[in-house]
Amino acid sequence: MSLNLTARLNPEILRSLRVSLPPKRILFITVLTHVLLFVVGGVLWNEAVSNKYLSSAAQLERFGRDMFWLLTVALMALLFVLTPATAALSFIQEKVRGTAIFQQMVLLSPFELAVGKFVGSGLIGYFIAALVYPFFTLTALLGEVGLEKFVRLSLLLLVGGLCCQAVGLFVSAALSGPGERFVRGGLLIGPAVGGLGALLGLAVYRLFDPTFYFADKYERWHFYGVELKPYIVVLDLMIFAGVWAFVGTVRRIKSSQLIPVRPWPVWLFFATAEAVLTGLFWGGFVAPRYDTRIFEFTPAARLVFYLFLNWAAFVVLAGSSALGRERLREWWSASSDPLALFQRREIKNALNTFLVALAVSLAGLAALWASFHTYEAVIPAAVSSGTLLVAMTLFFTLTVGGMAVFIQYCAMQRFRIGAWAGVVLTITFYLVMAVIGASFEDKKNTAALLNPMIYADAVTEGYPYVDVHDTFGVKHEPNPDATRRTLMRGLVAQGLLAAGCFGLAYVKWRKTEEEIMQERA
Amino acid sequence: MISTFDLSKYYETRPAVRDVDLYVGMGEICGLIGPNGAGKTTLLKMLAGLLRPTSGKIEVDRIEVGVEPKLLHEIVGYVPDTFGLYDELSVRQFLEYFARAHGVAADRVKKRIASVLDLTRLTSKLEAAVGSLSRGMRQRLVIAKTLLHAPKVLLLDEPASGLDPLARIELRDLIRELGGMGTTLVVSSHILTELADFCTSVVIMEQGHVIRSGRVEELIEAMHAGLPLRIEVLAESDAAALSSALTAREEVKNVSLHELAIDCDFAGDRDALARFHRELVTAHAGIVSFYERHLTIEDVFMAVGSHHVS
Repeated sequence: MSLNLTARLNPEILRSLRVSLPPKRILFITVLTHVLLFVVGGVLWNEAVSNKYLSSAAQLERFGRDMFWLLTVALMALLFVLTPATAALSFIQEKVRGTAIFQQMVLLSPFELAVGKFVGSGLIGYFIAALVYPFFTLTALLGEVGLEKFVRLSLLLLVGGLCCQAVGLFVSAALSGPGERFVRGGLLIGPAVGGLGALLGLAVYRLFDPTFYFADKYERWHFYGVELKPYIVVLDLMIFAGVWAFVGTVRRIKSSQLIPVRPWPVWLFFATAEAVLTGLFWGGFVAPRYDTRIFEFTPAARLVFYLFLNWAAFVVLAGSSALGRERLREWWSASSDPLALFQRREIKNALNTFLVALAVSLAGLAALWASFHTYEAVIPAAVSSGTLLVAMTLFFTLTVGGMAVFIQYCAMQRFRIGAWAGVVLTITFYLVMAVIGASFEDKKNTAALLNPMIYADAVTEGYPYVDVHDTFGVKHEPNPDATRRTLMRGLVAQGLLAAGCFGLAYVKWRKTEEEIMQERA
Repeated sequence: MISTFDLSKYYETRPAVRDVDLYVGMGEICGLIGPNGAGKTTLLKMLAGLLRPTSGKIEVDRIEVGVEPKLLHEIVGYVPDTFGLYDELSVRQFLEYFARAHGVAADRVKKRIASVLDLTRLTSKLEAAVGSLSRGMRQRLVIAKTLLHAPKVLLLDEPASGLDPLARIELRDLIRELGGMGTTLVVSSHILTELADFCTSVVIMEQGHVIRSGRVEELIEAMHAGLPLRIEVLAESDAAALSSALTAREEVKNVSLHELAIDCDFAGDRDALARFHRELVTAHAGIVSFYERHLTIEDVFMAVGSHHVS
C-alpha cells in the first residue's frame, strides 16, 4: 500500500489493516464467506422446495425468511461477539506482546489512538459483515420480512455492535494500564466480553423484532413522561453506553501515558447517567388504582431500582478510586506528614468525584421523588413527603459513605485484588443481611433495613403517591406508627454501621502510619 | 539537558530511587552503572516519562516531565531492556507505523526510514519480516524506530544484553556515532568496559542512590592521590614484603594487595617515579613488572560502591 494513499489514514488503523487483513487473507475470507453462504443457502433452499404444499412464491418467501433469520444470527455473532471480543483484547495484546511501552510514547493523541484501536479491532468483523450484508438485504426482500423489521434489526446490529465494541475496548484499556498485573489472565477478557455481548443481543433482540414480540403494539417505555417504543430507548441507551465507554477508553490511554486527566468528565458522566436514569423512572403517571397498563413499574419499584443502580455505581466507583495499599505506602514513604497525602491531586480528584457523584445521585433522587407527586393522592399521607425524602437521602448517604470507607479499609489490607476485595465483601455483606432479614417473620427487621433498597421500600409502604398497589394489584395500606418506627430504626442502624466502618478505617490508617514509621526507623 | 531534583520513586515502602539530583549536559554520553536492583531502569523510565515519580522533579530540555508528556516524547527516545515487536509487519511497515505515529510528515517518512536504516545498518532488511530478524537486528531496529523522530535525548536500557560479541561491537559503534551527531545519550549497562569506550560521563547507582557522578576523567582523577601504579611480583611472600615496604613510604598512598599484584598511588613527578622504580627493583628481587595503570570506569565503580544488590 503506497504511503501517498495512506498518508491521511490513522497509523494505528493502517497497522491493524496490514496485520489483520493482508491481501491473501482478504481473498481467503471472501472465498470462505461466499462458499459458506452458498452452502447454507443451498441447504435452506432444498428444505423450502421440499415442502410440496407451498407454491413457488411461498417457497421462495420461506427460503428468504429462514435465510434472513440465519444471517441475522450470523451478523449478531460477528458484531456482538467477535468484534467486541477482539476489541477487548486490543490493549491487552499490546501488553502481552511487549509493545505497550512503545504505544505509551507515541505522539498520536489518546483520541487518535483510541479511534485506531476501535476501528482496527473491528476490521475483520466489519469486513465479513460487509460481505454478508447484501445477502441479508436480499433475503429480507425475498422473505418479505417488512421494512420496519429490517430497519430495526439493522439499527440493532449497527448501534449494538458499536456499543459492545466500545465497551470491550474500554475494558481492555482499563485492564492494561502500566500498573496492571494480570496480563496473561487478561486474554480471557476477550471471550468474556464476547459472551456478554451475546447475552445482550439475546436480551434485546425481541424488542427489535415486531413480529416476534407480542407486546410491541402495547408496550411503551417513558422518558420524562414521554412515551417511547422500547427499542428506541434501548438504542439510545446503547449509544449512551458506547459513547461513554469510548470517552473512558481515551481517559485510560491518557492515564497510561501519564497525561494528567481532569475529573470533570467523570462528573459529567455521573450527571448524564443520573439524568437518563431519572428520565426512565420519571413520573407518577401510573394511576393510584390498578389499571390495564400491566407493563409499568410501580413508582415504588422504580424508586427501589433507581437506588439499586446508584448503589451499584457507588460500589464500582469506590472500588476503582480507593487508594491501594501499595500506592498509600509509596506516597506515605516519601512524605513526612501523612495528612499531606490529601494534597495529592489524585486523592483530591477521587474525593471530589465521590462527593459530586453523591450530590448528583441525591439530586436525581429528589427529582424522581418530586415527579411521583404529580397528582393528588386519594388517601392522605401518613408521613410527610419531605420527611420521607430526607430520611432516604440521609440513609443513602450513610450507606455509600460507610461502604466507601469500608472498601478503602479493605484496599489498605494485603488483598491481592486490593479494593475489589472490599467490593466483593460489601456485596457479600448485603446478600447475607438480605438472607438474614428474609428469615424473620417481620420483614422490616433491622438486618433487612441495613439495605437501602429495602429501607426505601419499607418506609414508603402504603405511601399514597408511591405504593398504593403493587404490580400484582395487591393493596398497600398506610401505617403511620410503623413507618416512623421503621424510619428511625433504619437510620440508627445504618448510622452505627457507617460509624463502625469509619472506626475500622481509622484504626487501619493509624496502624499503617506506625508500620511506616517503624520501617523508616 | 537532563536535570533531576530530589527525585524519588518508592515501590510500597522500598525506595527504588532515592533523592537523586542529577545533571547530564547536552551532547554527553552518560553511562548509568550499578548492580541489579540499583534503580537504573526505574530512573530511566522516569526520565522517559513512563513512570510517575513518588516525589521530586525532572526536567528534560526545560520540559518538566509529567506535566506535558507529549512534548517530552517529541524530544526523548527510549529503548527498553525487554520489548516485543510487531512480528507480522515488514521492517518498512514497522518503521512507517512509528514514523507516522511520531508525527513525521508523510513526505519525509521514506527519507527518515532510509536514514535510520542506514545508521543502524539494516537497509538490506527493509522488506524482511520483523519476526525473521535476529536478536541483534531487533535491537537495532528498535533503536532505528526510536531515532525516527530525531530525538534530542536517547535513553538506552541495557542495550547490549543478550547480544553476541559482533552485535555488541556494532551497537557500540552506533552509540558512538549517535553521540558524535550531538544526541544526548543515557546508557545503562552492566558491561563496564563497553561503557568505558564511549561514555563521557557516568552515574554510579547503588540501592537507589547516586553514589558518584561526573565526567569520567574527573572521577578517575579524583579517585587517586598520585600516579596509579601496579607492581607484579613472583611469589606471595614477595608481595607481602613489598606491600609492607610500600606502606612505610610517605610518597606512596592507597596500597592494596591482590595476590601477586600490588596497586598503589605514587605522589611525585615522573623523575621521582624513575628513582622510586630503581630503588624498588634493587631492593626487591621478585619484582616482574612495574607500570602505570590506566584507570577505567570499572576501577571507579569498584572503588566507590559497596556492590550490594537490593
